[in-house]
Amino acid sequence: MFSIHRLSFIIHNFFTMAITHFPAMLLFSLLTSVVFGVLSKNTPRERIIYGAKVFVAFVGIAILLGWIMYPLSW
Amino acid sequence: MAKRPAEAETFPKTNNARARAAVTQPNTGQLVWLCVAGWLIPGCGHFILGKKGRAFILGITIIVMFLFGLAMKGEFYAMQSASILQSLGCLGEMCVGVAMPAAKFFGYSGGDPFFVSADYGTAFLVSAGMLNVLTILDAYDIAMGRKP
Repeated sequence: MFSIHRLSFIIHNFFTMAITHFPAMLLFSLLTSVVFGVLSKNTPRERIIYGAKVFVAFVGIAILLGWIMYPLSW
Repeated sequence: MAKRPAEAETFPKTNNARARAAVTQPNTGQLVWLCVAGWLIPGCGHFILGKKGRAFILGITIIVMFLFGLAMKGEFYAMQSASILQSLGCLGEMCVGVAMPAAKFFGYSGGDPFFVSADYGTAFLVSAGMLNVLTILDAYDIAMGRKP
């Protein structure tokens, strides 16, 4: 029988996601770039191109900053 | 072909744009309702304005981001907190609308700070709220006629 308690149990025990930093960053960049693309441009083609650019910029700059910080000990 | 005078080329277009803006601009109550609806349900503001495709994409994206935050056991900040950053984080999470009280209603206790992805989850929760704020402002601009 459906109940709020059973739904809560299912959510708590089966709906968890333990991921590392890189996939979390990819997921965040993807979702954010979709919203930025939709809000910033007016035609579907422009939205897709701008969203792709924002996604590549997010991931690329994060990787670049990671390599810049790599030799730093603190 | 006869050449039109310069004034006739510019004034009619300007007057038409002003007249169009004056007719389509909603009143304050409609704008407030639009922003509140957009806050409560992500994408609802665009849906009210007839931009159903944008409403669907924005709503799904923001809700999915919030759900990922819950799945990663992100923390729900408390408004009354010693740290102002945590209070601001609480405001950010509340900007998603009914999603936060709905999660609490279904038993989400506020996250597990010792879970491996908890910090990322908290970032997802707050960012979903911030993206909803951008969405509300976009709906407001569309209602005011500033963008299509």
